[in-house]
Amino acid sequence: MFGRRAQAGDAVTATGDGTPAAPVTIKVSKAGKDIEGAVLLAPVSLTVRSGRCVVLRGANGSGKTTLLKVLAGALEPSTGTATLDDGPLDERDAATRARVAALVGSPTAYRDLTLIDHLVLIDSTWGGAIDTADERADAMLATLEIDHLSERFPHELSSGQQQLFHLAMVLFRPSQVLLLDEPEQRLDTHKRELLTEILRARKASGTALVVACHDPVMTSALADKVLDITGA
Amino acid sequence: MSATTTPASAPTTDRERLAQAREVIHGGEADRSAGNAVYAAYVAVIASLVYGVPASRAFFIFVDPAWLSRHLTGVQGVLVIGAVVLALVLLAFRVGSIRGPVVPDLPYLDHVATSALDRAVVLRRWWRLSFLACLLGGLLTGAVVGTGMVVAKVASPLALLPSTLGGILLGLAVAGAWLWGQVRSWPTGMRGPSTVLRERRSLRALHHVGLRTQSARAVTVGGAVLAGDLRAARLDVAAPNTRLRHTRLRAHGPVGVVAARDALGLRRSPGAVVAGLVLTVGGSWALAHSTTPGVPSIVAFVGILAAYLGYGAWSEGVRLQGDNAGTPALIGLPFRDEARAHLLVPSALYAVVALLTGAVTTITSPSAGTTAIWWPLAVTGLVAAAHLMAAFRGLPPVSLFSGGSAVISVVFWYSRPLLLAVVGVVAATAALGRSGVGHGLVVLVLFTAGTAIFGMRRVRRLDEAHRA
Repeated sequence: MFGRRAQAGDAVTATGDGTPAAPVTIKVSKAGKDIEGAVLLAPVSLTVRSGRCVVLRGANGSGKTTLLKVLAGALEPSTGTATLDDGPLDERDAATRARVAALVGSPTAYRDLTLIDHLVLIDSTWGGAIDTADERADAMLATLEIDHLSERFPHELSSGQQQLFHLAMVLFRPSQVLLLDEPEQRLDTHKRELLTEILRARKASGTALVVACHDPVMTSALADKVLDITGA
Repeated sequence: MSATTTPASAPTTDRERLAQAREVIHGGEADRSAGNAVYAAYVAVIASLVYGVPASRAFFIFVDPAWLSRHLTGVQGVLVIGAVVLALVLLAFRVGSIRGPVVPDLPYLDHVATSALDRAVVLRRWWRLSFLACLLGGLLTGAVVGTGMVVAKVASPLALLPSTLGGILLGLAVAGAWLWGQVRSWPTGMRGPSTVLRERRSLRALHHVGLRTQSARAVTVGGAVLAGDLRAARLDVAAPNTRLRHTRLRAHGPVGVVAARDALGLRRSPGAVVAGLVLTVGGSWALAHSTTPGVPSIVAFVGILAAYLGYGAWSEGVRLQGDNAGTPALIGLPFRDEARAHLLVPSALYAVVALLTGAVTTITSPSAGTTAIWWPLAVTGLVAAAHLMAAFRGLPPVSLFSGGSAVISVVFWYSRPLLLAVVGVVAATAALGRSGVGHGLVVLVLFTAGTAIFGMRRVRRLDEAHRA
């Protein structure tokens, strides 16, 4: 079960089963967000297609996370529009959920499940093949080099390991669009390099990526375009 | 330190050193904690007289005295009272491992409890305050119950003496179990039965890290309760899981895997399984008996209360989903379908236990009719729907910090699911007894449907709440 350590990209193809992602375009047009007069995001436009990566840069509080939430369909823009293949971008819509995966903030985990259990649960709910679920979940953890933690519970992880676990859950579910909010947080240099390779592999397989990132090395390795978000 | 080198005013004993430290902490002002404790006791006595005695009197008038006398005297009475006392002592022991009677504030723990002063001296004040509170609570409970019986003319005035004495002994037992639970919460050191109600041994056995954890938790939980965020309080109190780590969740279909997740979660929490079993059996037993003509409604009330808590012990999965609401989707099921899938395991367990308990009650109790077999089972839907509501209740509409009737509003908001279940089952049982099975079922179905609709609405609202 813990045989060969998987190489970066082995288990992180867009659909989880090795097939490339279908073409997709995610777009915001002059999208801004304010709540009761407080501007969280100044109007911004952005289009990301399959196999492309846009890195969001900006000072703390400039609105990067808000933009990612808009792109995830979790937040409606106050001004402008957000679309997925010219259709609605709303996480209440099953089609949006099926295509867009996001790591924005810390996803809460089940405290009574181990890491491997979480991946098997996620895989099964997305209709993954039952007979190979264990192997694919093991491979995902191996890709992030946390397979030795597979039988730990979430509260038994360090903060860096928690971040890798969160990334594993988001990368493991099928998606055509991947939104990551500062995925390099709390990772050491080697793990940042590993993550960069994984994301490059996802991009090559056709996933559209939007990543908020403060790491210049990761940014130059991943970005087809860098969007500087300026505060309101 | 020799007498020749010690200034005349320097403290020489631990008690004197502690007094000096406390003086520094209070900035030279008088320590008001004793006065505050006396005031709290005064308020408790007044509240017992004003609210406790009338409530106790109303209870004994509401419950048929002849029925009560039949069931609370002799061997059955000893068993019932013994079970209640045992449950309270076990509860106090469990609470002690989460929030014991000795919980000073963090600065005191870090700067005074870590000194070379005898820990029995340093921590004695907190223990004695908690101990006296337990004794006073027991005394007042016994006196209120006894007075209620006397005023309701259920017992003679002489009953006041044993009930008060019994209350004090119960308070003593609870205090001992509470402290022992705190001592036992640290895995090493002197923690055997020889520490029970032995002040010095127990206080010296308390570990600084354990005390610190409990103190920090008390602050977090206190803040969560004041803010009305009882979900945060629940998560803070929950013990971390480490059992059966080598047992893997097996892949299933989308709904099946959610049920399998809950089943595995229960296998990893045997305490919750046992607690749920005991409460569901007790609740179902009472619900089965409540269908017997002449049995007072209080039996149905106690039955649904226990059954609700029993189901709750098995439904951690749906509560955890409620906790996760608002985060980007990781699970492939629609939110509402996942919520419904989380009800499968607790509902199946509950249904099996309720049916078996109903059947056993009917066989062993000559007065129970055939309705007793299925009545506990019939309330499964209402209990499940109430737990759906509870898991997705979200944050309260007001905070306890708000003015006006904030406390009452938050308590009512939190209790709504339980209130619906209690009112529904008590009303349905009353209709069953007075107008027949058909009427009882109609009332039960109406409450179940209403609660389920309300519950699903809460699921949708919480799922969409973050899209503001």
